[in-house]
Amino acid sequence: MPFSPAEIDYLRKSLQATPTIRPDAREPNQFRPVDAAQNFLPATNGSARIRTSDGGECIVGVKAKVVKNSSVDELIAVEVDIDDIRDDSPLPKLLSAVLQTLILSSIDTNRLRLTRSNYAFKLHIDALVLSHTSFPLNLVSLAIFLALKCTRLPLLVSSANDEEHEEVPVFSDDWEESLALCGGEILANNSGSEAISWTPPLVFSLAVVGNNILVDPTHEEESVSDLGLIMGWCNGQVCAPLRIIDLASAGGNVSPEQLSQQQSMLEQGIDLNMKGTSRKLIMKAYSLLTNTAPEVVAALDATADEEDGALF
Amino acid sequence: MAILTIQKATPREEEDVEMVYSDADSDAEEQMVMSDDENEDMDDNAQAANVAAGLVTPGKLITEDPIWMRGHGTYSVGNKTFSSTAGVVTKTNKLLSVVPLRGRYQPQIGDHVVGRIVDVGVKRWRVDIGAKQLAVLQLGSVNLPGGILRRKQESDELQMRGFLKEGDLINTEVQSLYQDGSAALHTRSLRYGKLRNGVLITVPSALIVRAKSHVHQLPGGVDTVVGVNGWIWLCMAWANSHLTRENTTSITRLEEEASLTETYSDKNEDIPRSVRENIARYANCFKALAANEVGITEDRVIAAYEASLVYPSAGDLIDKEAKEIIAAKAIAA
Repeated sequence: MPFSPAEIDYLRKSLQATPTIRPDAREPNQFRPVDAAQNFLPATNGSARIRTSDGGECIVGVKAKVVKNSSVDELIAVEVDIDDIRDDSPLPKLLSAVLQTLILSSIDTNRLRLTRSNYAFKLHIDALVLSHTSFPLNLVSLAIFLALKCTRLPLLVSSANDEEHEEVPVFSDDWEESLALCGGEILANNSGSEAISWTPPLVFSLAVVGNNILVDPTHEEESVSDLGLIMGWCNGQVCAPLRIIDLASAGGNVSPEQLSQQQSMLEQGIDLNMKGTSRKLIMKAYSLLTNTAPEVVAALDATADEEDGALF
Repeated sequence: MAILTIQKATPREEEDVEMVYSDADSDAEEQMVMSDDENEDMDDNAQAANVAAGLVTPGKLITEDPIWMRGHGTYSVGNKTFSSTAGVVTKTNKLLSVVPLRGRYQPQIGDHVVGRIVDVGVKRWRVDIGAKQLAVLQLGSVNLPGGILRRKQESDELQMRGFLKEGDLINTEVQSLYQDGSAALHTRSLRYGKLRNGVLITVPSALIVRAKSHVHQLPGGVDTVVGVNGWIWLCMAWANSHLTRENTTSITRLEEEASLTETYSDKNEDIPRSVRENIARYANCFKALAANEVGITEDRVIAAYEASLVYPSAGDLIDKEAKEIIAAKAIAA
């Protein structure tokens, strides 16, 4: 549904003001409140559901599977499915690719290794966006974070050393002994690596309006935005991917051709809409995220900790 | 200010409440059986006991008495009448109907609504007012520049998109209803017309309490048009605005024409920062009322606004607790 010229003008002028006035009076770095639930799918190793106040909802299930002789790159498979949008359209593919790369780059794959040479866990992270009005990346990222936080893997009881002779992994039947994926203990603690816990990565979509950068943009804010930024956050710092997208049309059901055309246009030059201020803007987004992301992680951690131990 | 607040999903309570309802059900059925035996000379009051009262759910037996006519929200098997929606049983003489709790807006004649142009057609616009069908705004039902009672000419037909185009928000009234329940609108009053200088928010239409006037001047330099369809327009109050001019009688023809060009303008005026902030605050107040299922009236909105001033940053009003506090204060007012 298009907006009227008067609405667009009002929204843009409000959002461009310094400091910005968002339609719901949020601060630039303030998220909308979300509803969260964890571990509600009994058939998964970890699951989470996130609901936003604008009616967006996403469920995520994490399943672990034992694989043999697979390369490190294949140990994480992220699949994002969006209701009403075809699987092979650009939006779900973009989200899957962004999240898969980010998680792979952030996780120490020793966490998933079962034996030294052959066996490992492969994590299938399946996200289903049941409904969304704004660009669904934030929603999916938060849900995946919570799902990974509560993912538990069964305890390996066989030997992890299969360098001399073949060893098929055997697991403890007792689910009480299962290990948290993000916890300190690593399954096959063979490489002598330190037992440190892992914080899953997050990825944020930010809307840029004039000189202002807004986290968790609503549909209205996206519609009047100059462009959108996708920025990752892992292990306490801003990280790849850093991408520029066109949020103004990506939130809706844009035709694939239109979206891919915009993608290529945007990739050609960051200066497209930015009139040479792109560098300053990226720096601003960087510092915004450096201040905001730790608090987001802390809020998610607090939620995950509360739930801990309340399995099934 | 918390950057991200996460509400834990709490499992739905299931036990006691359920029991109470089932007891009530069996009571109602007993009553029905009893009254079936002695239904010869019942007056209307006794018959009312024959009918399930209050809230009903889909598939619930409303009455076994064949004397009732079945209205909206009901279906029948044999002589029995069941509810087809979740809602409240209402009786109009011998007509039984169930008014749904939720659902799309059902237009009624005289409703002041806010709508968005979807389509420009031949001699008419199609308007989304949040009802089941799009409403129709005939070219003959709008005021055009150059005198109110001017005949519509072919040139007007050709430049319809110049007056109202796709996406434009209008402030209008339901003039009549077609057979299929869709509405015909009109903007033949200086109060109605294109909306500008503000933002639209939507709430469930069931929460809008019908009132004498749906245009309110709120404290803080903000005007609001509370459409009966749940679409609420919040904008800057402006002197002698066409929204609030209903009672002024001494409009000369020149003024009329000036206001009509203003009526079809897309340009916003300069809106001061304080007004923009107040509009955002009011938007959050409306959402707080809607989130807590509080019916929306002018008094409650003002009370909610005043209660919200406790929070210096209106951004804090998006929290669930803050919304509950605001809504409680609004009801108390």
